[in-house]
Amino acid sequence: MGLLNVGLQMARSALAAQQLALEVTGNNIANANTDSYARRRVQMVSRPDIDLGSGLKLGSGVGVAGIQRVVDDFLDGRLRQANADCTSLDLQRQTLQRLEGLYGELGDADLSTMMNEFFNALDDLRNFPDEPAQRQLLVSLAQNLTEQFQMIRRGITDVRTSLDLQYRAAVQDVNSLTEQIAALNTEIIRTEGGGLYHGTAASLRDERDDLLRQLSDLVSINVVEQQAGGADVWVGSHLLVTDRQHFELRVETASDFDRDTGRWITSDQADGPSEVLLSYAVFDIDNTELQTEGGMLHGLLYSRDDILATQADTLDRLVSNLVWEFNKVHSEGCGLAFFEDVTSVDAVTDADATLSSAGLSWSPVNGSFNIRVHDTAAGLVKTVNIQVDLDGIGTDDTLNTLVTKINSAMTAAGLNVSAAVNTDNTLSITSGATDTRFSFNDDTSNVLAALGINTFFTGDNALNVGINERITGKIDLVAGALTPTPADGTNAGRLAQLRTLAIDALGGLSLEEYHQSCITDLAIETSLTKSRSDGAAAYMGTLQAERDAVSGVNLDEEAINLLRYQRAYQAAARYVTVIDEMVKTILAMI
Amino acid sequence: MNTISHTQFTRSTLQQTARNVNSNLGLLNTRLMELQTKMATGKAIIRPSDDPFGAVVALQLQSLLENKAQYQKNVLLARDQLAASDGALGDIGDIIADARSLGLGEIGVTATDETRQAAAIVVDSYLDEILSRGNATFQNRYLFSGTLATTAAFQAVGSDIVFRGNTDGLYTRANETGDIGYSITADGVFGVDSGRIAGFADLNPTLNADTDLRRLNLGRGVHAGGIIIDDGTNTSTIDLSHARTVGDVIDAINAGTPATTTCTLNAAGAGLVLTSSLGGADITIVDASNGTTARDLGIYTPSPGGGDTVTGGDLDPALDLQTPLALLGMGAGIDLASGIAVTNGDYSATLTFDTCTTVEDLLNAINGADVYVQASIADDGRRIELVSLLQGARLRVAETTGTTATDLGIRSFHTSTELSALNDLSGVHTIDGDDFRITCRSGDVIDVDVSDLHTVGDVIDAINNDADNAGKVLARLATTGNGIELVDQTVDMGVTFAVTALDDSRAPGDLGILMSAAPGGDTLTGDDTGGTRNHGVFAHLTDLRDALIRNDNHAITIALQRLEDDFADILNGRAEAGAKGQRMEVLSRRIDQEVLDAKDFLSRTQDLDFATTLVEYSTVQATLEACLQSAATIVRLSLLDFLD
Repeated sequence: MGLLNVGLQMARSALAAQQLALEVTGNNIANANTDSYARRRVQMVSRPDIDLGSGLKLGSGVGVAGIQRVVDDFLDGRLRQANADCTSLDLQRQTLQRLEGLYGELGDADLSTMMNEFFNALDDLRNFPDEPAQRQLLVSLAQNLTEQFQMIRRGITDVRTSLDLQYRAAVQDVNSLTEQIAALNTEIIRTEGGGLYHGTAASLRDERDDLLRQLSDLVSINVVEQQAGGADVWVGSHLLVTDRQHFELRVETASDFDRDTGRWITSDQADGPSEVLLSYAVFDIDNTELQTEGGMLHGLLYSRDDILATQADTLDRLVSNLVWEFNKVHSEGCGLAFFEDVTSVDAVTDADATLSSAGLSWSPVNGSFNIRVHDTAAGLVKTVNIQVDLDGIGTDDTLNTLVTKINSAMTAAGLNVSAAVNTDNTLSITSGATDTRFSFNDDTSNVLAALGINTFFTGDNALNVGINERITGKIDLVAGALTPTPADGTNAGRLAQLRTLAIDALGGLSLEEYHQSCITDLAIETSLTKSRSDGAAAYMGTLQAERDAVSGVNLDEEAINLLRYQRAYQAAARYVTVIDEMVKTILAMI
Repeated sequence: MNTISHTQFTRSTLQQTARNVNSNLGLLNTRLMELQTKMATGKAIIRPSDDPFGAVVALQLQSLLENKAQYQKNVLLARDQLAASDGALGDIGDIIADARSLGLGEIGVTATDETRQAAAIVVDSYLDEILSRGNATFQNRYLFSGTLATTAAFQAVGSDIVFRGNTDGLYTRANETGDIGYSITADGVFGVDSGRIAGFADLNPTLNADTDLRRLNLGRGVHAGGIIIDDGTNTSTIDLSHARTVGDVIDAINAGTPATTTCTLNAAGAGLVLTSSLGGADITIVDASNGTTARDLGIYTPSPGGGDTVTGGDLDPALDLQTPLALLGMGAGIDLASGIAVTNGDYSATLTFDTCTTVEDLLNAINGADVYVQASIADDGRRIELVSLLQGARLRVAETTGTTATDLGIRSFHTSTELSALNDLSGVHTIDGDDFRITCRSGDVIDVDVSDLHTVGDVIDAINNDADNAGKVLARLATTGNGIELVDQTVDMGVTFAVTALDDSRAPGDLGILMSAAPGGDTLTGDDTGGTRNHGVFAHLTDLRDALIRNDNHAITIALQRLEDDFADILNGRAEAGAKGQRMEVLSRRIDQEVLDAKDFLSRTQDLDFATTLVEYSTVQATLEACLQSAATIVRLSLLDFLD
């Protein structure tokens, strides 16, 4: 009977094991579509032998050693890394594509077309300098152009602002995730008895893996599981989570980011008010900056401070060179009308400061300019040459000394024109007689363009660029001529040539070439990023497939398992029947 | 097409299958959408990143096309304006031809005073017609007014015709590299500034600290750069690239060299001088970095041995509007107070310049004198020149009491005046042998031969140096006004001091000295037979009309000869307009061809190849259908279906 009992025990263990296996299979089937679910496998082991004597040993059935999650930790790590890369690149791709959309090049109303239209209108003005319609057209096209610059530039700023908001939200998400992961670590350690039953807290681990995957969307992480079951999460060389503790991130703000040194520039270090408030994350515990090579936080920062900031700089550079070169030429010309009075658009910071360091956007140089005083009654012109001493030898000119020079020269020439520094540190030149008007020419010092006298454009970047109100108020002041004759379009011709004129500050490129090269660079970067993003997505797809292959649920496999465990269960049950019959047989003998 | 990920693993899970199917369907749908967008727009490149290199080409081509459209516009404007000019000139040529036929008819024996009076009226109407055609417009701009195109080129003021335009050309752009002129200016076809008093005196200003470096070396300027000054002990490199004036150069040299070295203007004010007080100094000055700055500043001294002083060469500044009058004549200044007498046809003025300080003041004084005279600095930067705005009136500039006109080089009758220019270019008609006799009060006679002489000065010299003269008569330019003045220095013996022609020579008359003094008078002031006038169709038609009215056969002949020259000028103008117009045609055709080529290239770069795209679209569509079908089958397949 002893052996029969053994047999029954054996059958019981088999029934229990197969039943458990069937239940695990059922659970696998139930979670076939659960993302973070890792399939479970019942680890069956044969139970110890029973010594039957005479060297005979008999197995005592089957036991269940555990229910294991089928996971490949290394693969999961790679998947998280790929996920971080993929998220970052996808964000960069989106940003670049938004930029491309902002520029809208290759269309009929893009920036390059508007620039061409503007410069072509200068050709028309040259052909018909006396035609008010051409002047109006030129000014309107210039307005279109400046508005387009502003629209693109504001677009860039808006995207940067929106990315910054996303960044701040993403940092909070990181904090929330790390807190949950730390909490799960606690649970897992407790459930698995501090490592005694390693890997048995399968559902908790599933949940933690899911959170880790979400975290890898945000930052590039490295996960190291401790013996007790807790997961340490590293970002670079800094811990985000260790065991039951998580390290909070805090958002700091800066005015600017110096891409060359990689340093943040705070508002008190910055030159002026910040265009976009730049957020960045630091660890609350030690104020070290979060450094991540992937994830949304990386993608957002890279997009905001590299792609978009570079593009904003590029556009500003184009505009500032356009404004400066255009104004230099424009300020030397004259239109159909002359000035009765003029006030400089730009002010110096200090009227007693040397003009080359008086806070003007552009520096005048040593040279001179002419004020032509027109006696409109007699039709005569008197030219007054004003030397601008900025050679660094002796005392250089300031706005105040410039005014003194103008006034002395006018007095000496017996002309009723005077200059003055206004309270806001701008310069005004005014005619004091009805028949006296004035214009400017031959400015080798660039002081007129630097101060914004007889200029066409105002501003010094794509955001603040505009048209001088004197021009919009009186289109006859568009300086298409070099000599005060109505059909002289020489200066308009000089202005038109600026489109193709090589500019040192643009590395020897013309305005047109510079813009084209910027668009080309943007197109190449977008295309490359798109390829890299596609590549990263494909790589992640592969890893995901690998992970699915290891941890995913295959219904066919589970069906076979069902069959397998069912048959084993049936067999064990049959075995019980056999034992039972054997017992019956023996009992019948009694 | 994007890569559809495919994985082959031992286990294929439901999720993996779903993911793959989703991903593949997504990619195929995206591709279909892209192809659909391309077909809808007809463009192969929607965004630059679709094909960065193709986009570069497309961008450049788009720009090129936009620019070419403007060039074409410019060229067509130029062509049309030239055609309009040609038309106006053609009309004027026809009128001149008519006038000439009319005039020729009045030379013959059949012409009478009456016919000539009638012809004069017709010529007057021709003048009106030419005035009208000379003021022809194109697109509301006067064709022959230069850059004063909003003002009619010619205006009748009293009996005169005034040129109100200027002779500056109009230019436009026909390609990336250069400008093309497209106006026919009034100087060539109407001779509006042919009567120019081209200054004969080099006004030779000296330097001052404000002299612009660009004016030096007669306007060639000074190349920006650096110079190296070595006094034998110290070497100083002076950066002069920011210097704009002579004063900047002096300041920079003084600031950049040891205190022992001093740079100033030389005593004459014509150049720079550098001296060193260092014992045994031996100054050398060379250019830094192969420049020419030291040479341009006239202080290039490469070899030692010159000692402690370098005296620079004459820097010859060109005149500009700001040049102070005090610097003229090598700093000696000129007689400004005496003034000049300007006579231009019926208009005259006496101008003094004692309140003027700059060249511009002086020019303004002349230009503002209401005598229709335009004064300017000559192109060579050395002289002042005057041109009459009246078409046909004689412009003369004479002295008042001093030497102002001579000092300024604008006296219209002076020693260097060519004899051929006198009498409205008729010159001085001489005969073989002596041309005129000067009879002195003493009864002495001096016979003078002025044949083969060239200038008024030559005539004066010929009189003064005549063998019979020997101090009896002093010939000179009149001190006031113009003309040759003869002073009889002999004892009055009751003979009238006079000049008479010999053998009917016209020379004394042509020189303006065919005259007698009042009894006892010792001075003969000759007439001013000099001066200049604009020779052109207006002047010569007026001449013809006046000659017809005067019934002056000789004058009619001269006027007709001159009208022939005018006809030639008009023909030349038409030829110029025709040649330029032809060039515009060629340019226009070339631009058309370039536009065509660019469009073709752009189309091949940017436009969609519909056939290929349609084929791809169908392929992707078929793939999508296959994918959908297979996905439906794969996802549905399960072992569970086959188990009992």
